[in-house]
Amino acid sequence: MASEKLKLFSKIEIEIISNVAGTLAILTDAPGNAMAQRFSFATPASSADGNGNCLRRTVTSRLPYNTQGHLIQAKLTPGSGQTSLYRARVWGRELPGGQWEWFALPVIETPVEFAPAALPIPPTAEEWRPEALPVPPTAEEWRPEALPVPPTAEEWRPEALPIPPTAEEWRPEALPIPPTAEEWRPSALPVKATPDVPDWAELEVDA
Amino acid sequence: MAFQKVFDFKEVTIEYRSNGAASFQFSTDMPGGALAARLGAGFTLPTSGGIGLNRTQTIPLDGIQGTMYQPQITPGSSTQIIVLSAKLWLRPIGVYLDGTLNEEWITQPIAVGA
Repeated sequence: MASEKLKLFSKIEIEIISNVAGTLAILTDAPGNAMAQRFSFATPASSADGNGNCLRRTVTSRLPYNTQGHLIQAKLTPGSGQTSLYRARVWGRELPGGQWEWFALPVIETPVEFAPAALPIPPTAEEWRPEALPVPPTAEEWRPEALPVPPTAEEWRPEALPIPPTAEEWRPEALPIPPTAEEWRPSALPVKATPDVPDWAELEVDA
Repeated sequence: MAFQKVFDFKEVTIEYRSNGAASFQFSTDMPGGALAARLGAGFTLPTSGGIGLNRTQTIPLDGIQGTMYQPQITPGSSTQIIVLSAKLWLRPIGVYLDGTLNEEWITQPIAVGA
């Protein structure tokens, strides 16, 4: 593993665009076997072009002669401004007998090329397309249309005539005969009563 | 490090048909954290020569950055414009630090070498 061997670090270099000064700190784990800051230095702001845009620049610093460790950590803290970091590397060698070389520190890469991004514009078709207007179509064929004539039924149906029905059973019907009374009643006969004293009657006598 | 990717903008190419002048404006949220116009008074899109003629116009956006962008086309008061397509060229910045937000770049402890 790379961390088995102690490394000696001599320089660090970063590539930035920054409109403000900042600070780059270097931490290692030696001596003491604990990560601690061993060195820091100020990173300057970038100069600007004629349009006011800051230009990319490298910032390099030597490290103290005894900067060493199994592990190294870099920390860039910009001032109150904006900084873009494009690359960071450290010049070091393995102890005791390694060769000096640059070791790249992990920086998320910024692509050199610009990439296209389509803006959300609905495409305009190259060709014309037909658009049906809202006109109801006229049918090619004739269709039957039922007239409002009530249909004549195919079968005969019974129709009741207005004749009162004859009852199935006999019913008593009282005849117009005056009833005979059950009891006798007196009835005066047309006999002229004889007076107690006869009245004189004048009779005409022929002369 | 910024939560959102910051983009460098290069240019935008617009294909359109118009019968008069129109204005193009490009807004981003940087610097300042709020969408703001970055092309000053705007870029004038000249007439394409008629509504039946295509024109392709490229507008430089050098030096403009942002996590968000908003293109805007505004036709003149007597202009009709058909925007057929538009393509924006951009690239994400790997590490973008905004010091006003106390952002910083810090690596893991790294064992360099093989």
